Amino acid sequence: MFIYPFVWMLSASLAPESELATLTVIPSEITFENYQVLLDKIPIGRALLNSVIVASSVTLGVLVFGSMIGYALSRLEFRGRDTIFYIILFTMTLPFHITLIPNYILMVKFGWVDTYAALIIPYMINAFAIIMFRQYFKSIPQDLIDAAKIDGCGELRIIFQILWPNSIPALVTIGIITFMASWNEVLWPLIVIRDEQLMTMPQLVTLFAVGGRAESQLGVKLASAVLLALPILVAYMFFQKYFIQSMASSGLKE
Amino acid sequence: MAEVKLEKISKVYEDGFKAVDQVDFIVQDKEFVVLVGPSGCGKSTTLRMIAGLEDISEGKLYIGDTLVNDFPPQQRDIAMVFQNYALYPHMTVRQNMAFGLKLRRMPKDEINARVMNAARIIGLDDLMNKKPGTLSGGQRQRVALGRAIVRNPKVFLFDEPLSNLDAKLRVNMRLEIAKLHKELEATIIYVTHDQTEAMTMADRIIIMKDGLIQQIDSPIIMYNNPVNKFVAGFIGSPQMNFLDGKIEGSDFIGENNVLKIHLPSKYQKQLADYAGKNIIMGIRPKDIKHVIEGEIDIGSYVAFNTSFNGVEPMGNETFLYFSMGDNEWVARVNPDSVIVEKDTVYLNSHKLHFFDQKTEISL
Ligand SMILES: Nc1ncnc2c1ncn2[C@@H]1O[C@H](COP(=O)(O)OP(=O)(O)OP(=O)(O)O)[C@@H](O)[C@H]1O
Ligand SMILES: [Mg+2]
Repeated sequence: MFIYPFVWMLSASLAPESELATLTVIPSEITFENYQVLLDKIPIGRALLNSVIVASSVTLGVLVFGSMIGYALSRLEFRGRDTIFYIILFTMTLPFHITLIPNYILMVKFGWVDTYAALIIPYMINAFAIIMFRQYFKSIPQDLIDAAKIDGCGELRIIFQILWPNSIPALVTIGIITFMASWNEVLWPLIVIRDEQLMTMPQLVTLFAVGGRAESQLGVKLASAVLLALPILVAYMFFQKYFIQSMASSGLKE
Repeated sequence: MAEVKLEKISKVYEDGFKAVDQVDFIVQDKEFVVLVGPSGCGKSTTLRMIAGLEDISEGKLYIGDTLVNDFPPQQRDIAMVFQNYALYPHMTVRQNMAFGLKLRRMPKDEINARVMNAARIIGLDDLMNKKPGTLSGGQRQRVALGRAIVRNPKVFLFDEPLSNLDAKLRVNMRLEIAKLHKELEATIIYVTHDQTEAMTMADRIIIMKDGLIQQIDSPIIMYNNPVNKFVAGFIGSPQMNFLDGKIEGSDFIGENNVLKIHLPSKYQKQLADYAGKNIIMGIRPKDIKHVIEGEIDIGSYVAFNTSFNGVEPMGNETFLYFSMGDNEWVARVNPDSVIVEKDTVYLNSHKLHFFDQKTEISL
C-alpha cells in the first residue's frame, strides 16, 4: 500500500505519455523520453549538485555546532547555562513562519540573497540537534571526560575525539533527520533564491511542476518527482545499514 | 615524583554546600597515602581538586614546589585511575595507553617503549589490540593502571579503583598496587571508603568526616590510638563496640548497670578528671574472648553473661553477636571453641578505649 504510489510514479515516468491515464503498473514499453524532456528544460543536474552541497553543509554544520553547544550545555559550568537551555527549548516551539520574514530581511541586509550562504548559514545551528546532543552527552560518564582532560585533551578534542566516536547513534540520527529536512526544504529556497543556477532540486522541481513549464505533461512531472526522491532513498538505504551497525557496536557501557 | 602539599583547602559547591573544609596535609615524595572516610565525606572532591578537575574554592595546592591552583589537569603532571575505569571505548588497549603520550607529542619510539614496558609490568601483553568492551572488570582496571603508568607522572591519584571488582580480585589488585608502588617509587594518593584497603596499603591514612580531617597517622597508630570515637569506629573490622556509662571510684559502670569493670590503674589515672561523669567506653571485638584458659593475663578479664543473637563462623575466626544494654556487640573469637546459646564472654580490661560523651574525643 505504501509503495504503490511510488511504484506507479516510477513506472509511469518511464511510460509513454499516452498510457498514463490507465494507472497500470506495467507500461507497454519503457521510454526515457520524459527524462530527456526534463533534462532539456531545466538544469536538474546542477540543482542536484546544489542540493547536495546545501544539505551536506547544513548537516555538517548542525553536527559540529550542535555538539559543541550541546556539550557546553551539558558539561560546562557557567552562569545562565540553564536559562540559555530554556531559551533554546522555547525557540523550538516557535512556528517556522514567524521567523520567515525577519530572516529574509536579514538575508537582504547581509546581501546573501541568491547565494549559497542564504541556504546554508541560517540552518547550521538547530535547536533540536542541540537538545539531542545535550541529552546524549549527559548519558556519557563524566569520568570518561575527566580521564580525557587528565590525558591532555582540550574541550574541542574532548568533543570530537572522545565524545563523537562514542555518540555514533546520535550523530547518525541527527544527521539523517537534518539532511532530510534540508533536502526537502522548498519554502525558504523559493524566498531567497531566484537564480535558476543556484536552485535546489525540490525548489526547481516544484517551480517546474506547478509553475507551468511542464506544460501539463504528467509524465515529465513524474520523472522530476522520481529524480527528487531518488537521492534520498539511496542515502536512506546507505545510512540505515550504517545506523543499525552503529547501534549494535557502540559498546559504550559502564 | 614529588610531594603534594594542601594548605587550608576548602571546596564550596555552586549550591553553597561546603564539601571540604580547610583540609591541610602533606604527602611526602614516594609516600602512599590513603584518604578514607564514609560516603559523602569529601574524599573524591579533595582528590578531584588535586587533579584539577574541580576548582579550589580556598587555600593553596602545591605539587613539588609549584603552586598549581590555576593549572589545568594536563599541566599538573598527575595521572588518575577511576572507579569505573573510564577507558575510551572506541580505542584499543594500546591506543588507550598511548593517547595521553600522543597528545604530549612524544616521539613514536618512546611511546611504544613506554607502552610495552607498562604492559609487561601489569601483565597486559596479550590484550593490547582488544577494545575495553571485551575485557573483564579486572582487566579493564589493569588497563587504567597501565594508562597511568605510561605517563610516569609526579603523582598517582586513585579514586576507589577496586570498588567495582569482586572480593577476590580486589585482594589481588590490592597486593598488586602495593607492589607497583614499591617498584615505581611513586607518590600515591588513594581514595577509598574501605578501611581494609586503607589499613593494608597505606603508609599513612588520612581519615575524613563531613569535609573535615579527623586524623592523619600510620595504620597501626590509628588503630591503637584513634583520636576520637568516629576514627575508633571506622578503623578496624568488625568495628569497635561502644557503651555509654560512668566512672564511679575505680570502676566503669555501664548504662543501666549492664556492665561493671574494675579499671586497671593506668585507666584510673587517665580518667581522674572524669570521676562521676558520663563517658563512652569502647572495646575491639578481638579483645573479647570466649575461652580464657591458657591466657597469660587471665586476671585482667571481666566475665559477662549473655545469650548470643547470632553466631557467624568464618572458618579462621568466629563472630559472636550479643546485646550490651541497647547496643549490639560483637566478639571475634577462636573458631575452635564450642558455643552454646547462653554463655559467658570475657572482656580484656587492659584493652579499653574511653571517649568524652559530648565531644567524642579520646581520653
Ligand atoms: N557537583 C556537586 N554539587 C554539589 N554538591 C556536591 C557536588 N559533588 C559532590 N557534592 C557533595 O559533596 C559531598 C562530598 O562528595 P564527594 O564526592 O567528595 O564524597 P566522597 O567522600 O567521595 O563519597 P563517596 O565515597 O560516596 O564517593 C557530598 O555530600 C556530595 O553530595
Ligand atoms: Mg567518591
